[in-house]
Parts: sequence; structure tokens; C-alpha cells
Amino acid sequence: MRYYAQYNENNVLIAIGTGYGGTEITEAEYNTLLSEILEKAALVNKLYSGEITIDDVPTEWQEEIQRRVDERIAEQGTAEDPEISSEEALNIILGGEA
Amino acid sequence: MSYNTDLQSNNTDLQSILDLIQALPEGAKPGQTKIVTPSLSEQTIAPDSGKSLSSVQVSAITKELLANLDSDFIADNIAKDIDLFGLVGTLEASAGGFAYGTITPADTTVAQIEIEHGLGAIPDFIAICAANDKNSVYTRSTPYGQSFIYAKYVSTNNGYRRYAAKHQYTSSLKYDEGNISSTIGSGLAYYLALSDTSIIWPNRNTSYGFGKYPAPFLWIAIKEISA
Repeated sequence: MRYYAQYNENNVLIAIGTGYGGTEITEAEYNTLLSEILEKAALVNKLYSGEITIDDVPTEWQEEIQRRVDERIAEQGTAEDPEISSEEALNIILGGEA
Repeated sequence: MSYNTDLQSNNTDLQSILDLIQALPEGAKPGQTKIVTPSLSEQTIAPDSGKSLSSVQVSAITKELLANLDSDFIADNIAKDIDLFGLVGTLEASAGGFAYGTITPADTTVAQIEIEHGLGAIPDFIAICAANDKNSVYTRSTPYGQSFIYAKYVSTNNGYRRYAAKHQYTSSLKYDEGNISSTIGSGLAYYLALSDTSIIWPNRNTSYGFGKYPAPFLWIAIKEISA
């Protein structure tokens, strides 16, 4: 299997993947990057939901994590604001059509 | 002494001299250079009678020589841009087939993700879904699980075909007068675009993009193979 990393014009990592495209990397490098991506995503969610504070984020990641949370708030509102309507939520809870 | 006897004696002497000459080592014979052109069959290079080989010159293998030896040695039979013995190929692979892979966005704030499919033509069909059933990084109570993007062609812009897409996770979808809409919540949002090299996917950290789900996504693109 071919593993790759994709960077933008500023050499910032945009995505990783398998198959065609990007810059080929080793499986070990891919797994390392994947772990970091998932870990950062988890921190974004926790910070967004208020489960943690920015001080709980590794120093070297704080700027990025805070930026991503700020952008998420700008697009979706705070975690207290429902992303779906109460009607949608009720429909889900009652096992309605997904 | 008769003349015949003398002639016979001379012949005997000459024959003896000839035998001695022929018995001489090779180096003693006059040298000769031969030029050989490679061929499709094995060749044995031997000196002419009475001579020895001082050198054998073998002609270089050139594209002209190969073309003379095999009528199939033409540019159209060599993959494009591949150089064989100085002949650069012009054969292009037929666009089509299928490609698949996974992609995991690194940053949910990147506006779009470009998936290179490498098919050489705009795919006839694509599908993208979350690779994992459980997005354990998310704390939301609503399980998004596997997700599909439904899309409808809208327009062509700058060489890309653009599609209005809906991320199916909670809403019922309906198709009405050429539009995909949701019976609950908002309707069409964000474009995905296809080109002959890549799939452009909106990645914003919203319900309609990759960015909300950094876990790996599976993708497949299919293009009917052209003749």
C-alpha cells in the first residue's frame, strides 16, 4: 500500500492518505501523522465542548488548537448552541428516518 | 635430369614452404579488422583465409538499427515520455478504470481537500464515506457513523464539474425538480468538484465537509475505460 502526505504551498500538512497522490511517505510516518491528527482533533473537540482548557493542550499545539476551536465557534456557534434543531433531535431519539 | 623431375622437385619444395607458412602462428599472418552490425541471430566472426583478426568493431545499437531489425520498434508502441535507445515513446494510457484510497484531513480549517485520483479523466462515479463506524474523537451524543455524500451536478466552472452536495447524516433526502434537499434542516450547501486529475471536496469544519470528521475517509472513483 502506498502512503502519502499532502502539503499546501506553505508546506503545511493538509492531509494524509493511502493510494495515489501527494508525497509518498512510509507506513510508519503515516501512522505517526495519523496519531497526531486524531489527537489534535480530540483536543479541538474537548476544548470546544469545555471539557478541557487551553492549558491542558501541549504548548506547541496551543496556537493551532485554539485557532481551530475559534473557527469552529465562528461557523457553528458555541457548544451550547445546538447544531440541529430540536425537531431533528427528537426525530433521531425516536428512531426516525436518518 | 629431366624437366619433369625438376618441376616435381620444385613443387615439392614449394609445398613444403606453403606448409611451413600455414603452420606459422597467427601473429605472423597479416592482421585484419572486421566491422560487425548486431543482428537478431548469433554471429561468428572469423578472419579471411590467410589473415588473422587484429580487431573486431561492433556497431552501436541505435534506434535506427532497432527499427530496421523490428518493425514494432516505433514511438507509438512505447509508453509516453519513456526513452528506449533514444526513441521517446508517445503511447498514452487509456483514461479510465478505477482508483481508490483513503484520506484524512489534517486541519479542519482548510477550505478544501484535493484528492488526486489519477484516472486521467473526470470520474463517472465517486463515493466517499467515513472509514470508521465509530468516530471516537467526537463527544457529541449523536452518532454520525458511516456517512455518504449525495451530490447533483450543477455546473462546469474553470474545467471543474461542480456538484451541490448534501452530507447525509440525520436528514431525510428527497429529489425534487432536479434539487436534492432535506426534509429537515438546511438544504444544499457547498460544492464538490471533479476534474480529470482530482476530486475537490469542501473541508470546512461544518456538517458538509470532511473537516468535521478527521478520521480516515474511504473514497473510490470510477471512470468507464475509453477504447
